[in-house]
This record gives sequence, C-alpha cells and structure tokens, in this order.
Amino acid sequence: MASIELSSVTKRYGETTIVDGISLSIADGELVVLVGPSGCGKSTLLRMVAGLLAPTAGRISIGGRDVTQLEPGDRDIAMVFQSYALYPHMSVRDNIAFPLKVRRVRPAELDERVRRVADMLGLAHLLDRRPRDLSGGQRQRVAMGRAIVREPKVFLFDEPLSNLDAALRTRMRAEIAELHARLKATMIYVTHDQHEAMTLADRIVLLNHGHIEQQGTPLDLYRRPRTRFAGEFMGSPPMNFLSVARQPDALMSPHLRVARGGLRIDDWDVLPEELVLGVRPEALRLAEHSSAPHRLDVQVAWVERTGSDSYVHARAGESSVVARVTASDGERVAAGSTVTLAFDNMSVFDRDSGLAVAHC
Amino acid sequence: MSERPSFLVRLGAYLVLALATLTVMFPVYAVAVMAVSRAPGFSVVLSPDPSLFTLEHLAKFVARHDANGRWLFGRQLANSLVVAGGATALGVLLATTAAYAFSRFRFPGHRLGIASFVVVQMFPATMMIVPLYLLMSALGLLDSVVGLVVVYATTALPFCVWMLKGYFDTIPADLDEAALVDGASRVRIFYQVILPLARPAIAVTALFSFLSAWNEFIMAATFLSHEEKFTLPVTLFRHVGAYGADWGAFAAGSLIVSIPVCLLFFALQRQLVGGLAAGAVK
Repeated sequence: MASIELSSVTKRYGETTIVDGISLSIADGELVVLVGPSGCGKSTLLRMVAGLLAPTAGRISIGGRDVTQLEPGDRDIAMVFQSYALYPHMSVRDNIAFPLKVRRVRPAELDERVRRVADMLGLAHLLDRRPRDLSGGQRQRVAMGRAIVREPKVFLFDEPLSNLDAALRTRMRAEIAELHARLKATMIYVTHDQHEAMTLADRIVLLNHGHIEQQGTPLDLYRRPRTRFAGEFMGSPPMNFLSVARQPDALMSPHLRVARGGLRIDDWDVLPEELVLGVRPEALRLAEHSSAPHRLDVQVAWVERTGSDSYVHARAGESSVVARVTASDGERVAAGSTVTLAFDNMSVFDRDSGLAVAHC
Repeated sequence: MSERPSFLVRLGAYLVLALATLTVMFPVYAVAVMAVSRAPGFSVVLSPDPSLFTLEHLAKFVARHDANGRWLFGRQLANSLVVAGGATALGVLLATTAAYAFSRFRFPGHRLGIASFVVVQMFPATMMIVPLYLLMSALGLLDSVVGLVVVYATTALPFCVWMLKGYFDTIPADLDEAALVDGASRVRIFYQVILPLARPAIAVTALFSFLSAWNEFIMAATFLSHEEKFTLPVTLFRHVGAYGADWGAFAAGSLIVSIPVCLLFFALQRQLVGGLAAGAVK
C-alpha cells in the first residue's frame, strides 16, 4: 500500500485550464473522494494519477516514487471505470485474469488468485459467462475483481456506480466501503454524487473549476463549508441561502432575524454589511412561539411528504426555502399559510466573495 | 403489437420479392445454362434443351495447356489465388494497424491522412494506370504476380483503412485504457483486445479486398504480358476475342471463377452479417 502525493498538478488544453495547480497528499490506506460538479476536473485529475493523461505541469508520486512519466501499467495502480470497461469477448475468468496474464503470473497461482477474488465478490458461479450475460451489478463486481486481483498499491474509481439503479448503487456502495475496510488500500474515488462522497469518504476533496474548493472529513465539509459553493454542493436538498444585512444587534431581512448573541462572532463590526445566511433544511423547525432568537417567516408553497419526513417548500420574499420537518409537523402545515421557522445552526457568508465568515 | 398485414399485402410483397430475386438470379442462370449447353450463343438460355447438355466447355476451360505442355488453368488459378490472397493479407495487415493508429492517436498529419483517404476514392482506378505502370517498370515488377499483389493491396488500402477506422471508433477507448492500466502494451492491446472485437469489420474488409483483387481486370491485363502469369479474369477475356466469341467456354470460365468467391462468402457469412450491421446496435 502507498501514499499519494500531488504537487501543483496542472492540465491545460490550449487556453483552457482543466486542473489548476492542485497539490494534495493522500495517506496510506486513506479513501479520498474527489467530488464536484461536471467539468470541475475531478476525472481529469484521476486520469492523471492513473497515467492515462500526462499533466501539463506538476509532479505525481505514489509510495514515494515519482511516477509522473511512468506508463499506467508501471504505476502499480488498478482502476474501475464508469463503463466497467470489461473485455466483451472474454469470459469473466479471463477478464479477471487479464492483468495477471499480462504480468506472466504462473498458471497455478493465477487460478488460485482468480478463484479467491471470485469467491470474495460472489462471482464464482459466473466465471465462464461473458460480460453481456451479466447484470449491471455483476459487471460492476467483475470490474472490481479485475482491480483487486492485481493487489495494487492504489485503487482508482471513476464514477463506478453511476450506471446502476438506486437500490443497487446503495448496495455496491456498501460493498466498496467494506472492501476498503478489508483491504486497507489507498483509494481515490471520483463521483459527482455528494451523497456517495459523504457516505464513503475518509476525506472529501471538493473541486470546482479545476481547484480545490475545500477538503476535510465529510462532517467537516457538511457543518463548516468554507464557501457558499461548498455549502450548496454538499447536502441534499441543498443549503438555503438568504440575503441579510448586518445591524448592530442582529442579522436582518424583512423575513428573517438572527440575534447577534447566538452567533459568537467577536469582530462583529468588521464584518461586511451585506451577508448571506446559509441554513440547512434539517436545521429548520416549526417555531413553537415567536420568541426564538433566530427565526424566519415563510409562506408555504407546498409540502412534500416522504413518510418519515416532510419537506416544506416555501418562499421568503425572493428566496425559496426548503425545510425538512418531522412527518407530524408536516401535517400541521398547509399550503398558502405563513409559518415561522426557527433554527440554531447556520453558516454566514460574505455576499461578494462567497467565503464563510461564521458557523454555528 | 402491430396488426398482421392482410393476405393481399403479404401476397403483393412476396410477388415483388420474387420478381426481384428472379431479376438478380437471371444472369447467373443464363451463364449456367450456356456453360453446360452444346448450342452456341444466347438463344439456348430462353429455350433450354436437356438433350444439348454437355460438360465439354467446363472441361475445355480447365484442361487448357500451353505450347510447352504446362497446365495453364492450374497456373492461372494459382496466380489469381496468390494475387487475391496476398493482396488481402497485406492489405488487411496494413489497414488494421493504420486504422487503429488513426482511430486512437493524434499525430501530425492525422487530419490530412484521413482526408486524403477519402479524396483518393474520387479518382477512378484507370487514372492511375500510367503512373503505376511507370513505377512498376522502374521497380522491375511488371509482368509479375508480386507486383500485382502490391498494386492491389495499396489501391484497396484507403477504403479498408477508412472502413476499419470507423469500426475501431465504435470500440470504447475505455477498453484500451483499462488494458493499459492492467499493464498491457499497445501491441498486446491491439492483438488481444481490439482485433478480436473488430472481427466482423475485418471480415468485411478482407472480403472486399479479396473480391476487388479477384475480379480486377484492367490493371492485370495491362501489367501482365505472358499467359502463364495471367490471372483468371484476363484469361476469361481471351475467350471473347476480336475474331468471334466462344460463349460456351466463356460461361464455363465465369462459373469456375465465381466458385471461390461463393465459398468465401459462405465461410464468412456469419461474420459478414455482424459486420454489415455493426454499429447499428451498440
């Protein structure tokens, strides 16, 4: 197993910069999820680590060895592709055995390793089938088997679950997490699905426009987004954003009041006057009485009931607001009514720079 | 489910199909009848007479010998097989490697190369005869089977590269990349991953090369001057001379010349259907 070190890795195509000088250290055995919207450079970064793309500038090392100029096959990595990239004309057995055959592993050892991996992934009865005869989940498992059988230093996953249906995705996600726990291998996992990132990662690296927007543990990113973008990207439904003005004793808007006391901000007076308040949907609750220190008046548009929770979709002036409340609270709210929502946790962002100035 | 077409519609469709089949098959029938009938000319086709049946024409075409007593048909058949087989082997070998490169890599001259493959298709082959004649003469390849192999392989190359590149483009590059990560070399990827998947397209390309070379007449007639070097189409033409035509022998020769092509079609049938439908459903 090995650590990974990226120093100022850059990828440009002509005038367009896809990855902009990213430096990142990944510890031995860590599962790092690269997450971000389409075009943020996460797949490009992964492909550079794999050696499928050459960086325009920067250095990549794996296990202390500079691999920037090495071919993918010489980097001791394995990769699982979004399309699985199984060899269609080969059986499951030959697909899994391919990397071993390339490395001239002795037939007896090869058979033993293929069998072990097939047992581990529940593929033993499918070894003679062709990929076209497998379901999506089985194909996914074969792709993982082909990666595992090599016993590489590093595993790379490029949106491996995107082609699966929701139920299967949940199951495969659990299998990948279990695999990581068992193999204790260093893994880089690329996804655009923040939910996948939250549930799998030891550490999330959030990318935006080719640079690292924020990195940290999933809960860290969730609770303390460094920017408005990070707050918006992580979490579903996304964080609510409301424009507020700084007053001497509160953050105010016509529909909203956040008492200064609850915010624990020491240099209140140096804050910009125009701010944006970010509140997670689950931080909002129906206010029992109008004396809550932080509160928001909204007009309910409709209520979405999922059974366990209710999502109250509402408007506060120009802003739309979603609140996740208990099912019983959801029943108390009628479309068209005006209700007061209270909250304790929030983030405050500078309106112009988008940077967070406070969390509580 | 759509409704089953009415009896009349189906009857009409079958009639049209039957007529089309008859139209296509008639020349084959005509040649076959002429080849095995003693009566001269075309008249026998419309009123075939079993009493005129003979294998004489076929025997005559096959049994030809030259002045030195050498079996001409055998030599010419061998020439044709060597020329068509050689041109196919050489052409497919060059075309698959070139097409893979054009499909997967970007290099200086990539676009120009692709464009020129299309552009050269616009010019008729006859235009190239004089320059090719001069080239072959300079290389000492005139009146030689090897020379003809080179000419056929190269003239078929642009189409073959174009055709194969189109097919390689439909094979996801993820497969190449997965194999690269697995540690395979480019050569190994080409032979073990890409070529097996491109079999239908290679079959179509090979058949095209073989047929073009097998049937080609003008260049063969221009570049070959001795009878023992002739390919079968050139020999066939000799039966329709300036001083009258031996239609029976010509028809017999035509039948014999088409046999290897038919065999090849049957052999490649499964691959061909896959190849022609390739890319339709992916």
